[in-house]
Amino acid sequence: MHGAGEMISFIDLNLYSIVFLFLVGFIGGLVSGFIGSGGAFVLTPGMMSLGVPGPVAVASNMCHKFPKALVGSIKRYRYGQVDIKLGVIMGLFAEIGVQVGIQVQTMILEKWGEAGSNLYVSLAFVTVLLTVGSFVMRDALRLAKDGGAEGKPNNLCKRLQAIELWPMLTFKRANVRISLWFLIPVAIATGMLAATIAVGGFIGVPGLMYIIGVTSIVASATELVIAFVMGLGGTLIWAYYGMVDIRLTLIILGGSLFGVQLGAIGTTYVKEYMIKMVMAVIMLIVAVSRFLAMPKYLDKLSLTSFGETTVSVLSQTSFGVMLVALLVGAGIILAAMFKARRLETQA
Amino acid sequence: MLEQADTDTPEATRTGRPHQVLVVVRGGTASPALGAYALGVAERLGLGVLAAYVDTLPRYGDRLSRRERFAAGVAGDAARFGDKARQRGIAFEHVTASGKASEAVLAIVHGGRRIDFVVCDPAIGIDAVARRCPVPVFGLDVAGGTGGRGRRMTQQRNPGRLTMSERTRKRNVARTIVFGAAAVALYAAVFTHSELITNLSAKGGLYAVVPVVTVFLFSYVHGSFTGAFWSALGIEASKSAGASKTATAAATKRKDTRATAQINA
Repeated sequence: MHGAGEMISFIDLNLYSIVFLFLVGFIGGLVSGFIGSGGAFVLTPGMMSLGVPGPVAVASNMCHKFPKALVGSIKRYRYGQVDIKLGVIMGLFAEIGVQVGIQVQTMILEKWGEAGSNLYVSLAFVTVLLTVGSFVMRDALRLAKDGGAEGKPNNLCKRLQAIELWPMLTFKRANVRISLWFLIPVAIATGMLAATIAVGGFIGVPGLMYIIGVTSIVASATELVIAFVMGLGGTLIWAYYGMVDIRLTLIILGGSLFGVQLGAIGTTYVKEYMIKMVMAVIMLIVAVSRFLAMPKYLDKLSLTSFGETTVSVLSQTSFGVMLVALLVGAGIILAAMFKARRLETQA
Repeated sequence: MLEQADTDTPEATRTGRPHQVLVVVRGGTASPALGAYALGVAERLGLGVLAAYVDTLPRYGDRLSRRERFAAGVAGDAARFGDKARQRGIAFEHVTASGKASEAVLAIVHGGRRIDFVVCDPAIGIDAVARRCPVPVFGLDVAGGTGGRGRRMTQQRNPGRLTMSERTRKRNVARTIVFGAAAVALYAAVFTHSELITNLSAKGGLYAVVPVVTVFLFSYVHGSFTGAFWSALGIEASKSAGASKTATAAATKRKDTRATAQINA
């Protein structure tokens, strides 16, 4: 028997939880439609704070992620921003990365227990987001200073593209010709990060931009295809174990489909560096949030002694900061979009 | 090849070189929609109308009889067009040309006239004209009947201002209502039978397809609804986005290089 019915009880829904999930879904969708991923990192802890058991929260979240990515990628495909071939190939290899990520998690869980595993997740969050986020931020600021033109591709992707290593793949929409062997590590890292912190795009999009050499518009749009492929595979596995609470999924989906359409529309108005900017801002704020959550796990492993009240305050602040990250991202997107719209109608 | 034949040039315009709308017509007959639109705009903006009849295939078939038919068509049509313009107090001139429409437009625009913008016959490829023309070029959305010219419809999508019609807006509202109702019905169906569906999707095993199929269905219906919802509110992709970027930009943002600038200086 695979059913979760006997082991895990699904929560009762009330008006507060419905409105909360709908709104977080909407904002998460807006960010996803714009930068290709995001929102999921708030939804899982958000649902858990409503009393949803961990695995059910992860499963229901993932089950809303892939249809959202599908709707977003169709919309952005119509704007000519999606490279389907690139997305599907990356998605398939990312699937392998997800499996590797799960193996690593299980290994850590066996060795150091749940607190150790949580600490590992937080550490991964902080290191990845701080390094990649500050790199993207620096690039975005440089572009903003230059007046917003997408600068020339950096040396790394130029050099990688010049290496003729069989099999070479050509991506028409992305306008890139590169060896499969450079795609695979980016895809696997995306999958591993997705399995660890639920947002593979924080590696996937910068990887596509700086290692493969795709523009930020095409990278963020193609990430939606990767998220769809990964999400569909993951959902089937979770659903096989009966962990999906379809009611939660549908409520979040209700909000996020509004958001993802709006976010996709937003990409057609803003300069390319805005995508990098929003992404970097969210990554850096989320890194702060996870940093605040670390004392809890350090305490549990008896490595530090912060005391219970400090830990609970820090955990709540950490969740609040994550919400702030999403809100700030959504605010930048909407402000940039409506400003550009106003200018266009005046012209 | 540009031949000029002024039919109706009021005294004032002869000396002052009026600002004009250039109406490009393919062949010897302007479609009623094109004429009506051009006159409407000219009246609103206080401009004159210059109709350019372009024989785009001067070497096709029996050249002599083709030429005659073209000339006869132009004479008749220009008289009718001029009459309509006179009734509304709009100055009207016409010229004929042969060869490529884009070259004819270029020659006219650079020919010392003050052309404020160009309106193209639906039968003329607007992209080719817009690419080389220094003033804005507009197409005309003529759904519902200029005979065999419907096949050119796709080419008029670029100048968004004219073709983002009331029709599109109505279609979006209709889509919003239809898909909105369907989405509400789906949500109502799921949440009135939430126990059954939640249990089915939590059964695991082969029942794993239940939640996946459900979300696919919802993403189609609800996704179409949300897409139409933003469109109906007028929140749509930037007009300068994607493929149309080059054509529209070329039509509106190119530097004005006309000779008139030097005369005024």
